[in-house]
Amino acid sequence: MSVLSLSAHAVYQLQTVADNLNYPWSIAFLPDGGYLVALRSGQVKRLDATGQTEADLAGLPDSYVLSQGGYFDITLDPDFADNQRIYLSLAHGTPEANGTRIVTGTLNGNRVDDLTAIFTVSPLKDTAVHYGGKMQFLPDGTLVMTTGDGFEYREAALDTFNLMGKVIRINRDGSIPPDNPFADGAQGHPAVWSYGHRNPQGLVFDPATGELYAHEHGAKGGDELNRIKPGANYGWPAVTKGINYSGAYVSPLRSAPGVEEPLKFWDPSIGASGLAVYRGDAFPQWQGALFIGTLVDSDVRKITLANDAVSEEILFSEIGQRVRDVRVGPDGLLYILTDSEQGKVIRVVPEGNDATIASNQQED
Amino acid sequence: MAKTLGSYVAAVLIAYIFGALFISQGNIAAVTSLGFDVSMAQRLDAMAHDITNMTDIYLPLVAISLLLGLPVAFAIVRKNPHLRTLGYVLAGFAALLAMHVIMKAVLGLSGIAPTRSLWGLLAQGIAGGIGGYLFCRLSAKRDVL
Repeated sequence: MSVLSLSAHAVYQLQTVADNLNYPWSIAFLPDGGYLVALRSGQVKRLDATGQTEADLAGLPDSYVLSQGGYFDITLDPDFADNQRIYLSLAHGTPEANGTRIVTGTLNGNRVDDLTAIFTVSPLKDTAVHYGGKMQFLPDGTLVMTTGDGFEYREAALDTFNLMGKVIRINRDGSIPPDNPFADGAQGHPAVWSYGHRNPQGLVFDPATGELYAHEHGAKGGDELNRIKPGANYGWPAVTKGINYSGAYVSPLRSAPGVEEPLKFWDPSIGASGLAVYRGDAFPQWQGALFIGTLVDSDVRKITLANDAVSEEILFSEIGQRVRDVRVGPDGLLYILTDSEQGKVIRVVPEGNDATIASNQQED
Repeated sequence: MAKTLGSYVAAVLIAYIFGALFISQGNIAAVTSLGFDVSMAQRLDAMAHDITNMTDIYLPLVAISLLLGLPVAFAIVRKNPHLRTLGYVLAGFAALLAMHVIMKAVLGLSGIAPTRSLWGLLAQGIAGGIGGYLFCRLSAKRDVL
């Protein structure tokens, strides 16, 4: 049976859609009700509408799977119904030279054809951490993606000519939109949309407000939720409200002119991972709220923005597992991916919702 | 024995304080190199903050490093007393340097950001060397008048 829970404002059930997934990192929702789940171990599982694994997708590239490296985000083309294109971000390369890459191909049953790499973060690095890798299509059809600072190269985040520690924006074929803030290349790399990021692992566009939001991991402290503006500087590592793992300041500057202030920050860090904005019908009381998974605290944060006021509610701590991703499905339900070798896809449904799952699935 | 122990504790503390100060200054140098101004008040605040907030991880690492390094110097110095000062200074220097090099090798990452540069790494060695020097002075037998 499902677990029935009462949050401050909603009564919900948690239903396990799928389990035994090896570190699921992201999920995409297919028009037939099925799912594509990208695993950090370098596989994409195709699940049917009941959550049963149909196949591992064939035709996808090898990934640099080590530490935080592997497959990251998977998303469908806005015109997927017509072109069946999917986009996958992944760690590409070798221990000595690796970076975040976007590949695209055509989903043809259980394989991907015509695979093409359309973007690779440069320069390549020799660390296996801080890749970013979250993707989001904007209404104009362009694709934005977060990139990490590689940990050892944190100053690169403020170098507008370097693609590490950025939100980048490209066209679906990998070309650069002419209206990017540094499109002429004079003041920065043409692909850069915003800069001064550490390791952003949450990115979502709110169609109701037209705002793009991202969050990023701080060190021991300093996780941030930001409203992303083109050409804006988000400060890392010169301006941060967090401290390093050693206990020392990363920087004594907590704010500075010309540097965007976060909407909210966490100190100590919560391990923010996955970001969704709720615009569904199943939970009217959640309308417009942001949902952030946490790896450290093993829960989900519901963030409500009202003018300049930001409020936070802790939800789903009864799951008791690290949360890698949070999404809103086309059915208006919230989906949570847990981060473990036996990772799960968990669906949040309102009490009394008639959404059904296969009888042979385990439920939380 | 108590004198040796006290000398060791003092060496650890002085190496920790100098090491933390060098880390502070290394981090601030990185910030200013990015085009941001850091006032004297912010520098002082950072130094005070870092000295008082690096006790969880960095202080134990300094203590372990010197615990391993200083006895090696003792073994050498016992047979070569004319090398006493040099021996303890070099032992402290090498101990802290080795700590950061080993951490980088094990983790694949620099736990202390300024040690990514040669100067930052050498500064940590200097902090260890200061600790070694203090141990040398405090643990020395006093001349009887």
